[in-house]
Amino acid sequence: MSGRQAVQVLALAVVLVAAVAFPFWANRTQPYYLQIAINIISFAILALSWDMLARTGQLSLAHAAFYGLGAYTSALVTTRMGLPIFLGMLLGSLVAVVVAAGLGMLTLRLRGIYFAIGTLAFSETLRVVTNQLRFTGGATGLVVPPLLGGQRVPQYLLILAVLLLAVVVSWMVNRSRWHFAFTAIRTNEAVAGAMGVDVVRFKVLAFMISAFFAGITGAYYAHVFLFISPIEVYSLAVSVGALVAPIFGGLYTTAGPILGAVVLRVGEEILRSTVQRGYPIIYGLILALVILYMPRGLIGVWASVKSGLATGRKETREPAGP
Amino acid sequence: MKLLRAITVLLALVALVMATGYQPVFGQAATIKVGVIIPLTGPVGVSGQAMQKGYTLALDEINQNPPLGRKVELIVEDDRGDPPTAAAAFLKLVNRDRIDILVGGLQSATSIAVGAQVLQRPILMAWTGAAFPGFETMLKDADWFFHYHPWQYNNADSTWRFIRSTGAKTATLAVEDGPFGSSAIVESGAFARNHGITITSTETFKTGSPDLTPLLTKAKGANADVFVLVGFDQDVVPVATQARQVGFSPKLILAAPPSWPVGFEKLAAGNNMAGMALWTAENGHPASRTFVRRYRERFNEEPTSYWAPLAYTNLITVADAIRRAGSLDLAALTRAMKATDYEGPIGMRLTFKRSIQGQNQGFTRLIAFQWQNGKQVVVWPQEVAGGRLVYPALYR
Amino acid sequence: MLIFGVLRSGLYSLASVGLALSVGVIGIVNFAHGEFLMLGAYMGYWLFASYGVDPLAAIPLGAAGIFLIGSLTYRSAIQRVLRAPELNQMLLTFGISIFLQNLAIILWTGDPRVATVSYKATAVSLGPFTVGLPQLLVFAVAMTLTLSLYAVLGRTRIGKAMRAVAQNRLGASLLGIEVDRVYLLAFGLSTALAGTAGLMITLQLSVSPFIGLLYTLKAFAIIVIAGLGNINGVIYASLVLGLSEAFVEFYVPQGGGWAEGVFFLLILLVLLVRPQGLFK
Repeated sequence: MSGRQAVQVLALAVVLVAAVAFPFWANRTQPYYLQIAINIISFAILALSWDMLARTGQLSLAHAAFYGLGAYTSALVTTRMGLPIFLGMLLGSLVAVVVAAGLGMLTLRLRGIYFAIGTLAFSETLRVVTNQLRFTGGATGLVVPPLLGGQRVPQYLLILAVLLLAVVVSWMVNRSRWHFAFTAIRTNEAVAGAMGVDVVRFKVLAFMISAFFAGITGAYYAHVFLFISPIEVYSLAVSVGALVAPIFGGLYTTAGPILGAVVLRVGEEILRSTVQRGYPIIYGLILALVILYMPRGLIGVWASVKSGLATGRKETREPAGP
Repeated sequence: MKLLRAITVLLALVALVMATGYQPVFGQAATIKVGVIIPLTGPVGVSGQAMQKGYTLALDEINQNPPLGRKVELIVEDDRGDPPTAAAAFLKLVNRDRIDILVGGLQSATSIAVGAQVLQRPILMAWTGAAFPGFETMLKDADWFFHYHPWQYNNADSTWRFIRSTGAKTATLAVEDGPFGSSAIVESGAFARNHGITITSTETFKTGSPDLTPLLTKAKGANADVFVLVGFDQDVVPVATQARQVGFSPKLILAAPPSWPVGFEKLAAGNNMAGMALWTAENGHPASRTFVRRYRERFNEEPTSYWAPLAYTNLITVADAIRRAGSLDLAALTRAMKATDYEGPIGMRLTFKRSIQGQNQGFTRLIAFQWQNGKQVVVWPQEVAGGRLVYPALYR
Repeated sequence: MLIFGVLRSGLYSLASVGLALSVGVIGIVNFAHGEFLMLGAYMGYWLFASYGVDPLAAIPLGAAGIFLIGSLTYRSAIQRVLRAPELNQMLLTFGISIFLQNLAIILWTGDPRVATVSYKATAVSLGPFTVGLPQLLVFAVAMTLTLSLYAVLGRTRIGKAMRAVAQNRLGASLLGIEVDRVYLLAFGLSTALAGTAGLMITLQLSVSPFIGLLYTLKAFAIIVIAGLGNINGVIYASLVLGLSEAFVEFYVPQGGGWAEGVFFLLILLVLLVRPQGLFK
């Protein structure tokens, strides 16, 4: 291992230790930070899992559907059938994965905006159905038993573990042969197929991985905030949030979605305290400005700055991805 | 490596958050800090902002005679209608701002998120929000929790009691398909039966729908005495206009939106519609009239929903309890709050009694009013009525 | 129910045809479409509340106003992402929609407002049926405008230019058509149509900053059913949506809640079974 790599690994290890030790310190002195950290990490997982699906060119607006499926499945089996919470959460993510496989197969032929609208329709249909059925608690919502006794420290560690798992998966996907397959499919599906890439397998697999993380995060949300209802967990806001963060941070990377998630949530928290009434308008403005002037996200800006410094000339702006 | 860079940025941002949250200690020690968690933005931001105005009016009054000789300072947090944000806001208030008392509250989901946290760090919680009985269950053992808003079953009880008082025997329900509406369905069956009214049919609709003619036509066919609408301000206009258009004229149309659209009083089609509310701006009680006047002078607009006077009542009674307790000790405050006996802008006497599961329940009744020639005339209960109910009403 | 469904579809088609135009000619799916509708509705409200102008009479002024706002939006923002990936376009228009909605909240607060037009609740008899006068007027206006749009597209020079650009951008520019100008006009027209639909909403109902999203979604459903880019199919698709909603609301118990699912289900089915739309 080269010297530079050794330093990187060491730095990563330090960060990891800090992340694990953080809750113990925060719980005693600054529980506010602990809560924020939990919120940010959950959001980061959603962002990263959305990005993994986007790498195959499938821009889904159904992320909330899997989030909600995880939440509702876990809530229902723990309250109606008395199953332990861990089992509920696993079942939640399992249901999300199975449904994703189905939806993935159904939407194979849809591209671009058609795919987006179709997934949106799916997510909304799920919301309406959950809203109407008495069995799911209807529109009133469900009260959900607390995870790990409602203690924030173990809850934090759990979600951190899920994030680390997501990071590892994402990193491995980007480092392995899967990366070429995903990129090929995203660039030009027909050509990829002609080149021998098993398009169906990779598209559906990406969907399933993405849904797994969305589902488990949804279940986690349910057992941490103790109450779910269709308009919250199946809301379009969840899907949109999950895609804004990777766009902002930098698509198709592991760091990009996480960076975007952190910056967005922290920014919101700061804005919320300082600019009270009109702040969502800034959110819309930021979104528009990012798309217009920073299409490759924060990671892209960093790269431009670096190469601009190196060559003494600004890189020309290119849209993110084909 | 990109991940490393990301982490550097992350740390820088954390430092930024810490910096903004930091408050200089001098000058703050003398005030009584009251934390407020309300939705200033988001779908119910309008109501949250009304609450903020109510709190402002109360604060001015309170600080003219500071309790315990110390000025009260409000620290307002916007929960954005989002439970994780609400939970974080509470922790910030308790831990960084070091509040002495917690007030506020509007929606059920955010109330539950906050409530779960307060259970772990008890503090006086004088809460104006949530009608969802699951919230009552969660805090049923909490002595320090004072709930101002009527529970959903209180609302249902008042509504069906009023309907019975009109002499009606049958009713049709039209309910919006969100949590507001569906909780009404749950309670209505039992309460209607208890008060001797038969519900002939129940229909749902999407709030904000432009066209309710199918629903109204169906309701017309059900031929009940009273048509009960559980929806929002945007739904009363189509009901008012389209009911006339399909020739639907029950003996009474009763709507229960949390607030009514601006300009509704000028709508001829809205005449004779009845409504249930904790409070209306037409309330004849002197304290209410004073409140409306002060609100108008200060903010240059009319208060359109009950959230403003409710928030006002919330803060005034808390300040009063502080004075009577003589300290900020939780046990003393709890005792003082329990002894609250206040009649203010809401126009009804406020005391805290046991509810079905909870220990300290404030308001339990709604009043009924009817739009008569552009005015919200209170028609029930008798003690506070300012006019007579027109029943059967003509909707033509 | 037939009548109600048909009347309802008038409003829907007016609200959607603008989106179909923008998708068909420019290729942009404008998520902020509903917000232009909302702005038109507010324009109508303020004209009524301040000057007593009936929303019907306000159509020329309102449409022109929204046309200007739409063109401005196009020039400052939309124009730049024409060649960017669809995701960027979606996000940009989504950001614009958040911006406009919150701007409305800041300027006019979130309280809904009702323009108390004198004939708001009047009913007229059409043979054995009684229908609301405002609905009838809205339907008439909607049909007139939609059919005029077809006429413009079919007969005028600018209309034919739009159709040419819709079919083949490169070819059209080779023929000497100024593609950029066509795009600008198409987008402005699309928002103006949405704004007019908003004026009709002010006539019939109440206006608040939040009404936009509902109509954006319905417009989506309709243009998908008609087939993306198929402007002619919008009337039929609106009928399909309006009628199926009305029937579900009436005949299905608790139908009102399920009706919302109807249009999403329709979108899903159409996309899966016949992605080019039902009316191509």
